[in-house]
Amino acid sequence: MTMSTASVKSGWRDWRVVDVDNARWKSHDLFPQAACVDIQTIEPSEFEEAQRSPRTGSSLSALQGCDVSYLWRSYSHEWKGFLKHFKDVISTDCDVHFNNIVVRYSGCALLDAELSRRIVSTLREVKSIMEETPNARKFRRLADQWYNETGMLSMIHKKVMHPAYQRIIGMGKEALPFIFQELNKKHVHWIWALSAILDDDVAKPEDTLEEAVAAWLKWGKDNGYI
Amino acid sequence: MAISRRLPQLRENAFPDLYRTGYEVTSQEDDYQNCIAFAAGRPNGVWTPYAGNGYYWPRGLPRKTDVETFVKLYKLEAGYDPCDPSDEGEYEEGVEKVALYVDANNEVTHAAKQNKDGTWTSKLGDWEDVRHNSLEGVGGDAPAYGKVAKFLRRDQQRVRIEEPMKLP
Repeated sequence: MTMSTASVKSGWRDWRVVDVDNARWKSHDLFPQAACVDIQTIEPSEFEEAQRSPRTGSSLSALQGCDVSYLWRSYSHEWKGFLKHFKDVISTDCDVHFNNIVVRYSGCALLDAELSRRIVSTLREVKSIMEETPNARKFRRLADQWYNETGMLSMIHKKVMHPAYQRIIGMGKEALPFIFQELNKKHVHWIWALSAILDDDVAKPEDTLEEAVAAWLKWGKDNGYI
Repeated sequence: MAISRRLPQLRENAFPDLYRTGYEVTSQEDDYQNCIAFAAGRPNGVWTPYAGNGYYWPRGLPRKTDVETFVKLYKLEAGYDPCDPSDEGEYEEGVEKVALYVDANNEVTHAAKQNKDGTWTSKLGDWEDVRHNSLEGVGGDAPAYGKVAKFLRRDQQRVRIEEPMKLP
């Protein structure tokens, strides 16, 4: 399938369509099965003008303030809820469909470049989650629960005693590739789980947290988990 | 990237009084620091009594979560003294204050530090830092931080940021 910029219809101004390649991502690589995944970007001055317009102003303002990736995290695996909320936020100018693994995003929504990048990033995450193995899906579900329910805690012993974290430890070495992915994303409190699963600690007692994480990341690379 | 002034909804929900009493987000999230180190003025570090390698707790200090232990921690690491019991956290020129929160079991859950305008700043676990108008903002039933059990103080002139101690 080819990407069709012709499907983008603003209908009320000559909005300049910026080639997505220039934004260093390709939306059609994301969902090759989709007829089109078009993101239209505009200059900041044009965006401000659109915000002042009674026709699009409120929906654009709502969209600009929306953290799309967080929206996805909130709904986790609830596809219908996510897509409904996504569509509500985007406003009726945009069309979002969910059909098997094809998420089609097209229409005449006018987005600034940063928001476009975030939407594509979120859809990429959605796709990768759809393709997850059962173990990966289990880890993701438990990790999301753990992040959401313990992220506000400062006492580490309370975080790691959370049932979701303990269930991940219970996955044993099957969890290691996913744990190292999270550790690589600066989610550092997985070092406790690594010690528990491997019954060892590559960090030293005198290490700072940065040093402990670096030691574990090196171990992960040396042992083929990263 | 610009910092959003408001927490994502799920996070704001953890602190039911935060929006009502007024707050703004002042940093991005960061796993490398917790509120205990943050309130002591340390730029990084996770100070926690029960944890493995990489986490910090002073040698010789009991690994406990009661207020008395945390009063000793702040005295040892940052030169804070307990406030008079009548002190309710009012701003005083030239004085830095920290508020220690406890849960229903009287275990310390959180520390907030006072700003020069009398507002408070809290690092919300691994989440963002927020400047909040009222101590009540991050208090309340779990997962919020409970209630303030103790205020600590130190003279601003004595502030000296040092790296956490390392074991020999």
